Amino acid sequence: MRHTTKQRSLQTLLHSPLHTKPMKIVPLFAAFLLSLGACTPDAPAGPSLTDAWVRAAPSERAMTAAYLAVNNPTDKPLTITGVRAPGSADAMLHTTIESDGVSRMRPLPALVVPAGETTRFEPGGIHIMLVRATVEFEEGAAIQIEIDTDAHGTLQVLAPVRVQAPAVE
Amino acid sequence: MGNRLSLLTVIAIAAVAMLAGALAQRTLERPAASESNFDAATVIPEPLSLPTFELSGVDGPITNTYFAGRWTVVFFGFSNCPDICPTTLATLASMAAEVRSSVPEVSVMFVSVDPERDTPDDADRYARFFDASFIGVTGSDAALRALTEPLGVLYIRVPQGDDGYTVDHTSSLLLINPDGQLSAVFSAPHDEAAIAADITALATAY
Repeated sequence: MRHTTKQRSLQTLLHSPLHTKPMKIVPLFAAFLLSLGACTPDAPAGPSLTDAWVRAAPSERAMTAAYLAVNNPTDKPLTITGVRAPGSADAMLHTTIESDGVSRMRPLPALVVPAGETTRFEPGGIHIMLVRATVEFEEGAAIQIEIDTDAHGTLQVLAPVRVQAPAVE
Repeated sequence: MGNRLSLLTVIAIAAVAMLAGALAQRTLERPAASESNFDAATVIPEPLSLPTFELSGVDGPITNTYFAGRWTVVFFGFSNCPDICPTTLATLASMAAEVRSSVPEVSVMFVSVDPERDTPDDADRYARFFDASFIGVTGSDAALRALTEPLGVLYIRVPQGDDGYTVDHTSSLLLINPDGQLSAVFSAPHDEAAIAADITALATAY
């Protein structure tokens, strides 16, 4: 809703008589307006979690990982102070380090998402280790993931369970 | 242990450097169309015989004879591994589905290097969760090392948490040919399409 004014001006541009002429500058300008809209909304957007998913695991083992993107559009660094998943007895922030042909998993004591940036948790990198599931991590299910932050409380997202990683856009 | 690890590291780095050199040369030389290009595999020109080993499968011992007549990708991991092991096995499931149409005898063997927590049954169920055709095996440390040490495959238990541990392990995949020889190595990160294309090419030319 915040973008109404900009959307209207964009529509005006796209449907203006100018647009009927082959002027490449118009779509470029529209893209510029859109990017302005994304960067400077009227009210500052807070941090958010997107692109979340959990790897399906055999239920009798139920050791798996959650992946997501932590978006920090604010002008201050965002510190992640804890992770939780009500569907598992324990959740921990971990990272996989690949060096000299050896894969090593290590706890990540803290994670800071820089101002204006997105940190992606991805297979083979940063992940939320889910230990001792209390629900089935079956394809089609969804697991709630909660991330505690220093200044923005707890962020939540519902993560679908998948066997395969979603296709990279 | 430290010296041994450093030596293995040096060997690994040297191998990667040689491979990079060979790949660079291959690219520069622009090979003829008849020559295969391998995006993922480091192909061993003269396939290596495997050491004699005996691991435990859910239906009994698994030895060198398992490899006869099929193309097998061997992956070393453990089932208490939340990220890289399920990621790799899911990648291999996609790879196998792709390869199977042209190479029906493709197989994946998951070797658990965590026999303390994984029984052969655990390892097998874990592997089959990703693809019903996969097999999971494990063995005592001595039995595992009979296979891993001569191949330069590493696994190291590392304490983590209050009384737990994780296992650092070689992330490369080994490709064993139908004569039970090491034919190629795939280094991480693993791309299912590239591995599928390389295995299909190797199997077709075999």
